[in-house]
Amino acid sequence: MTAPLLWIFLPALLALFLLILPARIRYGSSVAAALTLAGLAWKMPVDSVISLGGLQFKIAPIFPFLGREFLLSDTARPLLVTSYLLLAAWLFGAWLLGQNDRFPAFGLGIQALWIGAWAIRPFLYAILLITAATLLTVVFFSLFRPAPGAGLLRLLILQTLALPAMLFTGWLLEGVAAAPAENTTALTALLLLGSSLALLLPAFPFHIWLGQLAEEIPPYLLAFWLAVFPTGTLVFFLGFPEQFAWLRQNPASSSWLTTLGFITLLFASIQAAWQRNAARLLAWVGLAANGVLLLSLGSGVPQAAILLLLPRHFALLAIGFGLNQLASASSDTSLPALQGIGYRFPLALMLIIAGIFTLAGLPLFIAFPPYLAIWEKLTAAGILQSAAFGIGLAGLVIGALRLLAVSLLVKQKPVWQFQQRFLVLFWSLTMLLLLVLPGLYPAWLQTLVESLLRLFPHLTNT
Amino acid sequence: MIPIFSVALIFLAALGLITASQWRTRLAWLVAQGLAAFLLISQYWPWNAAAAAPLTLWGAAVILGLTLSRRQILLEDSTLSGFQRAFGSLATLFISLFLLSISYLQPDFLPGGNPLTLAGGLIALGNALIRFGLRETLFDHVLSLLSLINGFMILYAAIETSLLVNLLLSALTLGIALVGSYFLTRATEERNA
Repeated sequence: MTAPLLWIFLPALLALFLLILPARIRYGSSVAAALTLAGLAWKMPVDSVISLGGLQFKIAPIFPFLGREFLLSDTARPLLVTSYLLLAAWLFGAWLLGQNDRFPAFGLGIQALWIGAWAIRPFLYAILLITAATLLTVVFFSLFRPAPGAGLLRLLILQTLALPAMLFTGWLLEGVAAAPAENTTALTALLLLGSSLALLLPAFPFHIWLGQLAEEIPPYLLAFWLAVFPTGTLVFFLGFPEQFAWLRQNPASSSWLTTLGFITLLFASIQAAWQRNAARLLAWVGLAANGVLLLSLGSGVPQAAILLLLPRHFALLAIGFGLNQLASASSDTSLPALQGIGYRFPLALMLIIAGIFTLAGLPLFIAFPPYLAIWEKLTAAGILQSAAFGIGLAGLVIGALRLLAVSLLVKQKPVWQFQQRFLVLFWSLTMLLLLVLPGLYPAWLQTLVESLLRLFPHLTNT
Repeated sequence: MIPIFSVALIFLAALGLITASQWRTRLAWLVAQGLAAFLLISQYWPWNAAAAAPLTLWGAAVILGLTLSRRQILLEDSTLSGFQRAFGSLATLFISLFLLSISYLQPDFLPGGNPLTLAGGLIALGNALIRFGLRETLFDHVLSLLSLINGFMILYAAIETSLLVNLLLSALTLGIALVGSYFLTRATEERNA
């Protein structure tokens, strides 16, 4: 038995199997499968002898495949536990919302491809599996409209464009690794790497499909994409500075990442502040969060980017879960159509607002410590950078407050009522606690965060 | 001689893909690009491995062709005006000349220093990018994506001979064709409804 077989190929097979299961048991089976995979990753060490009753066996970390290999060492276990636990949470939320019954299969398949992308060696081949995950996503998203929309088509095109750029980057980087200072191809490699990152995350100006896609698919699924793909991309891209020392020390890469981060954050923030559609607001909030990730890398605090992986998932899960309830209850997601809806779905509204506040880095929420670290670095670099960061985050808060105002401010005050089922209320409260409690007691997540940081020892100095 | 012929064929295919109105003609030009790709890739790989790139591209063309012909699929209006044709042709010509000159200025960009392989790959790739902006139908976008990946396979063949990469790129080519075929079918169903 090898670890890649257990956590990549088995889930991929399970995803195929889920498609032929009766629709009513798909969600239950997929949540159970994701939880089992997370539990196995938690309890079973890789590359050590495991005794189970009288049986002794060892899970090997390497699986050779067509001349290359998939590697999941023991240090990758925290990432596996987190990934499959989060997937279970996304699937459970989708189950409660009554999302399309093919989501379990596609969700599990996409997660398996992402873990394959992190595990493949040489790691630059990951882009091929990431593109495969994009193809799966595009097929799944196309189920929600009679014909594929412009947003979906642009998603397919722009994400596929990253493939050639990324594979060339890998090849160029190997060439310049020996003598980076003397090699002029280092600049080409840097440009291609940056373009691939901007295409995949997405960042400005390759985000053009986000707003359109927000109106083509349910908000929960957009939130799922915004949580899974950019965080997966980040984990993949952190492998480059981790492996190539010259890339970590190159001032050009830092300034490029900072500039792109600011442009993305400010652009998304302006859009969010003036947005008149709640689904599009989710898209801009996700884009702004991508800008923050870029800023954390550019300003020299990659630890903050890794610390943000979990809060980002929680926040988008909350926003998607809340917004999907509003979208189902209202004719559309434009702000005029949502007037007064806060009185019928107060908890859903709270989830959205708390999610946006989390991604705006407000105190008491789970994302505050990494945001504070980024802010400190930016302030040390200059007051202008610090102010720009503040303005960027303020735009998100304005967008959230506008949504709150529209949802609650009506001429005739309706009676407060809860139109949600018990399980939906329970899950909403759980998510609210997940957004707030770790913010109040950050030490709770310390062990997990430290083990995630150890995935990139050179980058995070751990 | 063969590389020069291949680059010329890729240029003609790019010209055909941007100016032709009939879907059959455009698919035929895509098939021609696949042939040119095979001739260029076979300089680096054994012919049986080099055949993967054209075979998957032709497979993709067959998938799209069968979808369009058997299902009575209505394509969006893709008739071009005289001005659009002229502009598209000129754009293809200038882009191709520019990329050809770059290939001769930087022949060492690829190992082995063959500027014609570089030119062939770049012309296929560059013109596919141009077509995303100039031809806006779903079918054309799928053709451009296939053309782009094929152009990239030409360039990548010179630097990497991994079986796994070859397999995954071929699988992605067929995957894009299948997704395109599925999209075309759904778009027609919506228009017929």
